Amino acid sequence: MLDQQREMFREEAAELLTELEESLLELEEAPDDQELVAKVFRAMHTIKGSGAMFGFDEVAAFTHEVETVYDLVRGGTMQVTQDLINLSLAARDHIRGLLDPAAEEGVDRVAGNALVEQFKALVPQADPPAAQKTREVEENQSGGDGESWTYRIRMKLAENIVFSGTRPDSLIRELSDLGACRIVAQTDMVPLLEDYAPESLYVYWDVVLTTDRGVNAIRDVFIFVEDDVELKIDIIDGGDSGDGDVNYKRIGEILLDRGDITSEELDRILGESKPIGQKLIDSKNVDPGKIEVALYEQEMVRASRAQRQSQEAAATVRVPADRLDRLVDLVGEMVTIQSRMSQTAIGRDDADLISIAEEVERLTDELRDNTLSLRMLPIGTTFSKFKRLVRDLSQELGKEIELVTAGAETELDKTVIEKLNDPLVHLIRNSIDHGIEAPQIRVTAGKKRHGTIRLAAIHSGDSVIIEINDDGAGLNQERIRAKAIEKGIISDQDQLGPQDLYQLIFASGFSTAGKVTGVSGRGVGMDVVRRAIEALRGTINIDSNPGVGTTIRVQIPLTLAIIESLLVGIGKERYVLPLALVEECIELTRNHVHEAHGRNLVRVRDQLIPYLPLRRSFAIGGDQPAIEQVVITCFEGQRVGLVVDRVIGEHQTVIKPLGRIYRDAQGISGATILGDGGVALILDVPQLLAGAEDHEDSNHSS
Amino acid sequence: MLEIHKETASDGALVLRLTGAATVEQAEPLRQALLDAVQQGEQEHKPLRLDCAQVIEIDSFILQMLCSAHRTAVARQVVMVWDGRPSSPVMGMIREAGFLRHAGCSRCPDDQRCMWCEK
Repeated sequence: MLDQQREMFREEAAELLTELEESLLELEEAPDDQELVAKVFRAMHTIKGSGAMFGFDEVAAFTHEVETVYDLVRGGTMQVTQDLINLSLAARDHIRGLLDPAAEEGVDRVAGNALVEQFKALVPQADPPAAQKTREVEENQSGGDGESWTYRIRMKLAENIVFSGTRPDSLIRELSDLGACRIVAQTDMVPLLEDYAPESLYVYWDVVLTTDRGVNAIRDVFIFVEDDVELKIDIIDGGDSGDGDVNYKRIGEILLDRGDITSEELDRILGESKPIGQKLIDSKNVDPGKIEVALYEQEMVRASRAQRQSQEAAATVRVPADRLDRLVDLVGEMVTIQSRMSQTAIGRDDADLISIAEEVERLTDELRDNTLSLRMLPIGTTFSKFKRLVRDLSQELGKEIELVTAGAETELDKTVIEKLNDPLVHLIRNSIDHGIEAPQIRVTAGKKRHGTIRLAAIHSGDSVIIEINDDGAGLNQERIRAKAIEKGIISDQDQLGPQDLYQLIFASGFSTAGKVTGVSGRGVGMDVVRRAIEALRGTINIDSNPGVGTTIRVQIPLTLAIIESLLVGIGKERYVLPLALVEECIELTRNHVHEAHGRNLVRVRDQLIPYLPLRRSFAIGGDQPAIEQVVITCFEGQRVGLVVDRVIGEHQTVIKPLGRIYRDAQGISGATILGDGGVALILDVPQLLAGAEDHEDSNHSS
Repeated sequence: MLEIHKETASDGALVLRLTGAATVEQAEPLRQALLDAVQQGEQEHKPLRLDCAQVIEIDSFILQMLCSAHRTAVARQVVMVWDGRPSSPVMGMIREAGFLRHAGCSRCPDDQRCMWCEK
């Protein structure tokens, strides 16, 4: 149980640390923003408090030092400086290291201690009360789980309270510090001046308080006047006491509840046809002070219930990712079985069974969509990491760069987002290192001193397009060409257009950077990026304008689990290809082949389209049928046909990865199980086309 | 320190002007001054106005005493109202200590307004 709680704390802390990083970066821009300071403080405070609760003592102790400093900032004793932000970011990284179960042994404790010393050095020496105050807050905290209660408090202090040195006003202030508070001084006991003892206290107070603190926190306010106070505290809302109805009691009921009116009086007054508040005032039976506090009580409980309802409506459940993955797997199996059931139903020609199968199909579709959407996360979770990356790297390189993001709410499958992280880091690193120029160079070129990298995500059909755009120098065509020739990627006779030239930077071993920096220039980056994106069934494109900037466009499918596909057959084998790539299917007769003089070209509405006979590519034996089918695909704007024996139909493909032995198989990206239990291979269309082009090129050159 | 100054305004009304810190330590002289003023108002049929524009501090003890003074004035049929707007420390304390009201109390006659009414 404890392990589970510790794991939950780790997850919660990871989220808090992400938020903390964002807040710190924002604070760097706006050091006077008190709300941000408070946010940083709260994050530290929660990490410390929960950390101690779940046995992460080292985390708690370390975070305490940082929190102390932010408490001083919050209190106005200290200023937010660049040093403080740098230290805080380093502290945030250290806390993350302490929380990482894998890195527990490898945490650099010396660096941690050094950070603690640096934080301690920031604290002005003659100011211990701040640290003490923090501890007090912590010790007083009884709830902290975000639940709030509304209390009805009546506080009657002794008439001679003034002689004990206690000032009622300071008690009232302490109470109002606990939360949202409405206070009414009840004056019904105040005598006329003749009978008035000047140092006596005649008023008493009714307070309605909404707070997340326990009843003890309220009692603590009166701890030094316990013998001199009549204190009545009732929980009127929150916890288990609230029935959740936003329409809290009527005024009459509240007064009755408080004992400020009898039910007979209430019944009599209710008989009159005026608003109850007015009737009560007119009747002079109830002091307006009592009505006042009843009104406040009604208002506050209603507000607090309404807020709780909206919070409950937005409630979320934390589920471990592997359970979701398991669910997606199960739904995958379900889709497979459902397709088998549909086939069987059609095969038996049983109307009842077909109707049931259709119903199951509809439900399965819905179940599939809903399940996949559970694993969808906004891509913004990775965007925030890049802000830090840009900040740190641009500082290291002495450049001034701003990262602007758009479409952070765009959702992608969790597994896709995870795998997208590294390629995006490489791309942004490249933009920082090679793209954006140093400030002086930019100024000389008539540009703004600081460069901008724009990271944007947008939905497009069943894919997400991620664009990384910089306003840097753009790609240098001559240098790319020279480098490609030097590396033997192209020969000096090759004439390439700008687009083809740009694509060369994705070739393996290509790097134009003059020096190897810590940032990029090791010549692996872009090659790794291309392969990672292709492994996600995505594509990557680059466009550049010398002197203006470079745009890299990555297109990624929404999910890796289940795809809409087209099922085709060659001999006894069956294959599927992603429906998103398919444009149309046409027949290929012997006549067509003859007309093209043996070349793999087919005429479709006056356009010649090259095709690839898959039977030959996959060396499948047996006779080819007289009429074959060409599935015309469109990839990166190029239309290419794939020749198969027959087109079977659309298919819901649950993608199963290939075993390790087959991982390097060309032209195949995975496998799927069909309704009849057979296996179909998933065609890797981009790879097939690239392979065909290479083959064509080598044919030409030989 | 609290300075209490009584004068007759050009319209004939009595004005009691308080200057400084009006806290429980000054309660007795203030009670006496208020009682004297109400009595004078009763005898001379003059309204009484309370000027708190120069008060820099006030506490609940004094606020309840002002409430008592108003009740006493009402009982003796003396009209007692604020003279101008009280200072912001006074207004702040009226709010903080919960004296502000939407309607006057049962002792307040219909033709007079409670000291603690917002408007």
